Amino acid sequence: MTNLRFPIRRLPNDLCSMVLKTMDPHEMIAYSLTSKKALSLVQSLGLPLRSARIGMSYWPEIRLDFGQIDVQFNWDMGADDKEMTSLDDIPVKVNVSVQNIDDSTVFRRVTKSTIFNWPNHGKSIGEWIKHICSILRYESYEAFFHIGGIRFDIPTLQNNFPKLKKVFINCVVMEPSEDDIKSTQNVLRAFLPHVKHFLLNRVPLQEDFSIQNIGMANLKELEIYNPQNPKLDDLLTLNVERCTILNDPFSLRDLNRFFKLWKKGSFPRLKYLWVHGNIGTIPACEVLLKGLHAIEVGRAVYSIQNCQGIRARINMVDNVHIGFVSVRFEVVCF
Amino acid sequence: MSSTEQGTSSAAPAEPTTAPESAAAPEVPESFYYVHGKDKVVHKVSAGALQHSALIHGMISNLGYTEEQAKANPFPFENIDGDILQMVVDWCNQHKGKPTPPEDTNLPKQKEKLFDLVLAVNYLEIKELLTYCCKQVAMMVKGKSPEEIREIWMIPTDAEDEAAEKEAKKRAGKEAAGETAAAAGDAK
Repeated sequence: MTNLRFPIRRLPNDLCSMVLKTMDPHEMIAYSLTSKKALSLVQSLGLPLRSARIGMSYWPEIRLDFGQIDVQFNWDMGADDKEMTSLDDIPVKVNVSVQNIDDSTVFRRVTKSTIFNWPNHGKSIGEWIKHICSILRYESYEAFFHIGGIRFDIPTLQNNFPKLKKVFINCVVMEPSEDDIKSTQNVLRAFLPHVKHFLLNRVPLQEDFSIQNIGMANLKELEIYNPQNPKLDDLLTLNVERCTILNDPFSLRDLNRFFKLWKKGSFPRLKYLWVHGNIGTIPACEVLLKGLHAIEVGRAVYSIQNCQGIRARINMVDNVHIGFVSVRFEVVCF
Repeated sequence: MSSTEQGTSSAAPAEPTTAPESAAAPEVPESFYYVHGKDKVVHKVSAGALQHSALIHGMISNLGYTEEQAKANPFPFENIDGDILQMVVDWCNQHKGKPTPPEDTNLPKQKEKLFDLVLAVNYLEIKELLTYCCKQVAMMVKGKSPEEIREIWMIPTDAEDEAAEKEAKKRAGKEAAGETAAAAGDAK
């Protein structure tokens, strides 16, 4: 390393900012780790961002898309692929992967890839998230929570996570433990009041905290994949704008009842519903559309209207060979 | 083009010598101005080169000096070291009337003087050179870890910052107490 030194702190703040503005985002983040004053200066610059995704799996990571530079932080939890158990864990080191991107064409092409190793700076995973997100001018973070052996508690989640736009909760263990169920509920309780888009895959819920509790949050969008024992009552309580339920066992008769209620003026917020799954019976349009006074407007596309004059289209696609049916409902005009 | 000569006094600067202009001399005679730094060495610089500096350009516009007046009254920049001013003047001459390239290879090479150069360029409001200087400072830590950045940029730790702040407060308190005591003594 060169012996040259530069006393940057002796420069006026506006000059320091000018120097920082010529640096790449990961270099600015590195500078912010040197002291509280450095952090404060970097925060004042409000680093703009295109997208960000926080991944809380056994090997936590943050991916930041700055446009022409992608920066990914991977926290190394220890030897032999040691896994994260909670957000309070302190990693042994931080791997920072930087990719320079040529985004002048439709396809983003990586022109250069570099990896740096930083020390942990005595920060836990939660504190690292808080530090990085405090620097960025961004309000649409997406977070991915991996359920299965990782403990998530509400205070740590609320204290360290930024304002999230979308939360994805994924449970991969076949038989979730009590702790897994508790962690799932903690993630939901921590973010349901503020986040408007949830995606839940195999999420273990119990009676004290069910899909109905999620529905009461008045979400903008809810995607549920592989729900456990869903009931029509659950669907009726989902006061969301857009809803996707995949691999569910709702019958066409249930859906017919749901659409009849919509015709009577229920679910006024609903604009889109996509239900896809194995119905266990021979799919028949007659069952789905019975009593809806639907008008066929295209191949397997039907138009219905509710008591307030709002029109919607229902599209049913069935694949009799594998017994799967897809029903798509979309409001088309008010 | 510029030339330098050891000035003996800022009020009556020695006659500077001028280096030959390029072969294709402009038809309209170019006006020249004179600047000196802390070392009193007077630099003769063309108005075209000085246009890079918003500060000097503003002074020229406001003062409306004739050639003789300009020679008799060089702009004094007592807060800028002579060698730093020389670097700045050289850069302005090299970039006179030319579009500034995105990567400048004519930057002063003495990195140990970069700090003083940044301050001088900032004071003289030479936007392009300041941008290049800032890039040079940033390049010093290219690809470095936070700890290496701390070392190269001489950044104190939070503990050192806190200690320095405490010390400064203590000193300020003592000075205030001293002033109060002196004022009380005067009153008596």
